Amino acid sequence: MESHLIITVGRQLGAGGLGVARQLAQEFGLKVFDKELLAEVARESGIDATRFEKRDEKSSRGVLGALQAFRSIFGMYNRAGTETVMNEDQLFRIQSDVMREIAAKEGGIFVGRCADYVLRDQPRLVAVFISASLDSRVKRIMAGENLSEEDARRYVEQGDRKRAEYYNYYTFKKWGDSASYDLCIDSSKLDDDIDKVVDLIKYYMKQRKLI
Amino acid sequence: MAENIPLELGTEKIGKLLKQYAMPAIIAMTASSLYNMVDSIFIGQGCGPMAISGLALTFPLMNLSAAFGTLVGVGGATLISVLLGQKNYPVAKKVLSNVFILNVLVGILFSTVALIFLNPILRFFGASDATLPYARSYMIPILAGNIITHLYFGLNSIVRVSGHPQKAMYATILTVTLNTILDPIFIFVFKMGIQGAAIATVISQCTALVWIMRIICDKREFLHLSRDTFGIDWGIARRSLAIGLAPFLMNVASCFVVIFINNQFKRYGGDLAIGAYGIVNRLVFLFLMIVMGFNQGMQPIAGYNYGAKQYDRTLEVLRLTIKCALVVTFTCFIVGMCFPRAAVSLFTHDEELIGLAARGFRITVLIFFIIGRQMVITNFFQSIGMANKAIFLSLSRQLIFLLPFLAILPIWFGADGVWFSMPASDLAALVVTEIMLARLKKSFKKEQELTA
Repeated sequence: MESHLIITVGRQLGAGGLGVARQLAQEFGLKVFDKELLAEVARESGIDATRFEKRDEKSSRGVLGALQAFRSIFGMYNRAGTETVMNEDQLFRIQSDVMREIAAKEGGIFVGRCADYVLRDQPRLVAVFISASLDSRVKRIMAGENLSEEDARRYVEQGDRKRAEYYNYYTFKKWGDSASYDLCIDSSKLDDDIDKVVDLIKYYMKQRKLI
Repeated sequence: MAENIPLELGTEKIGKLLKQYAMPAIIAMTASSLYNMVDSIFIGQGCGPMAISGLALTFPLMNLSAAFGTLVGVGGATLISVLLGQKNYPVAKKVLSNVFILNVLVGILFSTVALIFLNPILRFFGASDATLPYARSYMIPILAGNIITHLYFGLNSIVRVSGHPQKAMYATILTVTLNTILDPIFIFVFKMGIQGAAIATVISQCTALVWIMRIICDKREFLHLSRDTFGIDWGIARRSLAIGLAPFLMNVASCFVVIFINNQFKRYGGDLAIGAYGIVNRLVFLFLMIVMGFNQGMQPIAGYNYGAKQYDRTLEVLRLTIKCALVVTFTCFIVGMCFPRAAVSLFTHDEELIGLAARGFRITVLIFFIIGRQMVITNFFQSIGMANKAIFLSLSRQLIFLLPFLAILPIWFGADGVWFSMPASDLAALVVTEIMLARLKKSFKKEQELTA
């Protein structure tokens, strides 16, 4: 069976990754799968979406870990108890399963969610990472979210930290490390022009004979 | 551990699900509490009442050692389970080799420190001139074999999460059976006393470890210990330690509670009271561990259905688990109330110790006809992701209420006061738990009305 085209878009906050994903989707007639859409797919198989959102790209897990101690408190040898509760790790697992299923069934554009890692075995995968200079990201966020420069800067920095934590936690790699992607593009060097970024990706795909 | 969250959790009959999910947990739990009980029974019958007290003194030290095991093991198992879910075998292998090396390091460190300071540690734990020799001769072989113990538990939990839960269970059963066979041989045939029991423990764990090592080193497995990845990755080590830190601290806290209990018993009741507490502890945990098994079975079912907003099913599994737990704790209550002497006689034939332990047993189980509720509800909060509430509830029973009772009640009631602290804190925790559950149910109802 012919495998489907899959593009994963990793992105720094405010680098325009979502815009790039949407435009690519339009060009290739694919859907953009972000957090919301993945949650919806999961809900169809019986798992509530709010649980995805609540734990959005965060990997704090100290408290949950403490709970495993519960069992060991009661008996000195019972330290091997494995976790069966719906925790973040399992949510990530469900999310990954959903992503793999979609990839096998219809392909698509995946934004964030460690997609490059989860789908790394897919043959027709293009893994892209979009970065941009801090200034242009702050500007984009100021416009998009209606924030002051100072707030936008903080928002960008916090967002990046969260994304890095989430990615590094689940993939055991470094977020944004060029070895994880096929293409790393600084959108600010292309005049913050999404069309140019998309053209570049399309050129790369042609070279790989994917389109 | 389930590879996927199966959909049956949302549709299958609750009773059938609970049976399916709780059974393996109950078996594992019972095995480990039986293991502890068997050791105590042989030591009590073979080495006398002071040996029982000496053994009871070592519980917190063994707990502490186990706590260090969790510090390394829980994190390792969690990371491996995440990695296997993504078929990331290279990194999983690294984690495995990390777990291996860290267990050895922690094992050596703990043994060295504990052996050097064994006397002052045991004194601090409540040992007297009469009980110290017993505690010492038990702890020395245990500490000498500490690396084996750590490796056995650490690697066994990895075998469990890496797709061989059954093999992990067999390993557990193997150690229990071997220990049951070896204990009497070393104590009665070789006349090695309490030291013999410790040696039997180490030998049975060593045997199980050999078998586990064969599984772990099997090259046909996706996940195995191999030479080219052998080494320590400090990034991974830091992460698994970070995951294990919270359980570690909880374990350490519970050790100190037991140390405090033992010291209060020594002060108000003497050495034998510590032994009596050791006996009651073993008996009660045999039942409580079964409840813990039900709790583990409930977790995925409650968690899934809560996630799917099926509140009726969520509450149904809670109700059913409570029922099962109550049957168990009520049985313990009946045994404690009606046949306490018969039960504690398993451990000793010393009349004075039997008297003390029987009385203590009765007091300890005073509100056991209802305590199953508290334990299940606390775990229920954990199942549905309300971790903070669950931690608070568990701490309330074992720390927040218990400590003040332990400090104050003995002033008026002597050793009885120490015993009464336990049902008193159980009762206080139960009240708090019921209030929190009532609030939660109200919020369920509200949400259901909103969606209806």
